[in-house]
Amino acid sequence: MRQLKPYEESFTVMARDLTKKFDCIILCEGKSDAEILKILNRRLNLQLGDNVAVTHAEGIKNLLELAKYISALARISRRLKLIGILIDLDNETPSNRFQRIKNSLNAVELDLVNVNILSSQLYNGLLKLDDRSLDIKIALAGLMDLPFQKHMIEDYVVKAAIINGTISKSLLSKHSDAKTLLSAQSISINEFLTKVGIDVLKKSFAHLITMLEETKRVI
Amino acid sequence: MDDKTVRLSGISIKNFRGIKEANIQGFSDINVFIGRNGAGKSTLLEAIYLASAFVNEKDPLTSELRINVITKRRTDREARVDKAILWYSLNTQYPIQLVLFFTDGKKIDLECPYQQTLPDRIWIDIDKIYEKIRDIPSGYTHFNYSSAQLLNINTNTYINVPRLRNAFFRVFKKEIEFLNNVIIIDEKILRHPEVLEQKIWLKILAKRLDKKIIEIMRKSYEKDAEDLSYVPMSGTYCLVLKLPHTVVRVDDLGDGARNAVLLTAYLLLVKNTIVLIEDPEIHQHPGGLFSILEFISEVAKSNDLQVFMTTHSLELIRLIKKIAEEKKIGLRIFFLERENGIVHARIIESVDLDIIQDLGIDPRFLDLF
Repeated sequence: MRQLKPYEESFTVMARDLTKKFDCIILCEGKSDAEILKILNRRLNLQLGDNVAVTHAEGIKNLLELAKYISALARISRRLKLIGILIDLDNETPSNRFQRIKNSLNAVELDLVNVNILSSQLYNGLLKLDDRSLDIKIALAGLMDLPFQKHMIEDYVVKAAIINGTISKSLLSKHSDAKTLLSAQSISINEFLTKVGIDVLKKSFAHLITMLEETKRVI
Repeated sequence: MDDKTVRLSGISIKNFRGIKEANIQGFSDINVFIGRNGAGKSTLLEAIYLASAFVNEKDPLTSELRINVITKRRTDREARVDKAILWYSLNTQYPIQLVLFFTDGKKIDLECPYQQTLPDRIWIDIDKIYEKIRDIPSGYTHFNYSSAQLLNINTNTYINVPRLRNAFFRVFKKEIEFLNNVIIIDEKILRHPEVLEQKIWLKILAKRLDKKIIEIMRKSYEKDAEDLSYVPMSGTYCLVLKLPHTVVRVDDLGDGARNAVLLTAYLLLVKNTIVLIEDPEIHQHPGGLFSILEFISEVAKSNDLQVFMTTHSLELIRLIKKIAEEKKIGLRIFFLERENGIVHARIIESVDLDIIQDLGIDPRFLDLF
C-alpha cells in the first residue's frame, strides 16, 4: 500500500520506478485515517501491495468537496479499477450519509449505479463515466453503538482501547466524540495501534478490515 | 479571439516518427503537453509544424524548408539524414497522415508519401477536397498549396496550377493565413543568435520591438540592461546587450538570458498563427520562467497566437495556470502517454489540477493511475 503524502516521499518512489501502476486509490478524509489504514494493512498482513495508493483530503469540508475529488480522480485516471472512499459518519445514520454522498456525486454529474450494501456501513457501486465504469467502495467510519454525538474512525480506536483495558467504558459519556476522548487520555493513536494485540485490532476494526479485503478482491 | 481568427481544435496523426496513431482534441489558446520521456510530446509539436508545410514550405524565421528543419532538428550531425526517419518504424510503405481540425468546423487532411524522386512536400489527397474545389485536372491525385502543384502519385509527375491555389485559398482562407507563419522554438534555434541577427533583427528594430525585449531583460535577467545593439565584432556583426559599463554579446549571456532574448524576439514578430515551444523552462530560474510565461501569455493575446508547449516542469505548470487565470486566457494541459505507438491524451482541467495535487498526485506521473 503506497501513501501519496507526504509528496516528497511518494515523488521519489514514483520517479524511481517506471513500471509501478496503481489499480486502486483509497481516499480518506484526513491524515490520521490514512495512517490507520496503513497500520492495519501492515499489522494484519492484509497484503495490499504497491498497486494500492492511499491518500487524504486534509479534512473534507463538505460532501460536495468529496464528490469533486472523486469526480477528478474518475476523469483523469485511465488505469484505476477501484476508488475506495473512507469517510466519517459524523452525526448521521449510515443510510442518510450514503444517500447524501450519492446526491453529491449526482451534483457533479457522476452517476452511481448498481449499488450493493455489503454491510451496514460498507457500500459498493459503479460510477458510470463516458467511456467506462469504475468500481467504487464507500466505507462509513464510526461505531453507532458508542454513545458519541459524532462518529468517526477514532471510534474503532476507542473500542480497541476498551477491549484492551486501556480506557474505561465510563469515560464514554464524558466526551462528545472519540477524538476528544483519546486526546484527553493522551493516547497516541499510531503508537497504540502499533502495539495493541492483533486480536483486539481484528475485533475493533472488523468493518474497515472488510473494506480493505474487498478492495484486494476487486483488484 | 475574434470572428476573423481561427484556431486549431485538434490533430490526428498516423505513421509519424514514434507515433503510429494519435488523435488529440480540445485545444485551447495555450496548450501544455506533459508526460514521460518518449510519450510523444515533441513529436506532437513537430506534427503541427510539419502540417503547416502544406501552406508554407519554408520556415518564416530561417527560410529553411520545414521538412529539413524537422529532419535535422534532433541531431547536430552534419551528414545528410534520410527523411525515412520521419516515418513510424521507418516504414515508408504508408504515408505520414496528419489531419488538422479547426474551430470553425473545417478540417484539412494531409499526407506525406515517401517519394525518393520528388521534392519533399505535404500533400492533400484530391478526394478529400473534391467536394469543395471543382475543376481539378483529371489524373492527379494530390495537391500542395505552398508550391501550387498537383501530383500524380502513380506516375510521379506533377504540374503547376496556380488557379487551384486561389480556389483553395477562397475555401480555406482563415486556415491558410493561420498556418502560414507557424514557428517552432527549441533549444537548437535558441543556441543560434545569428538567426535573429541576420534574418529577423531589422524587422524587430523597424517596429521598435527591441524595447519590449529590454523590458523582459530588466525584469528578470539584467536589471541594468539599457539597449540591444548590432555592432561589429571579430570581423562580423553581432547582437549585443548594452549594460552601464560594458556590452555583452547575446551569445555570451547566461543561457537563461540568451534564451529569453531570442524567444521574446521570435514571438513578437508573428501574428495570427501557431507558436510551438519546446521545454521553455530550460536554463530558467523560476523568476525568469515566470517572466517568460507571462510574456508568452500577453503576446498570445495581443498577437492572436495559439501556443503549444511541452514541459517536464511542475513549476511551469503551476505558473502558467496562475497566469492564465489572471489574464483570462484559455489553458489546457494534456497528459500524454504512448503504448505500442498509440498516443493517449488525458485533459487535465485547471480545477482537476488543484485537486489531484491536493491528493498528493504529481500530474507528471499520471500514467501510474
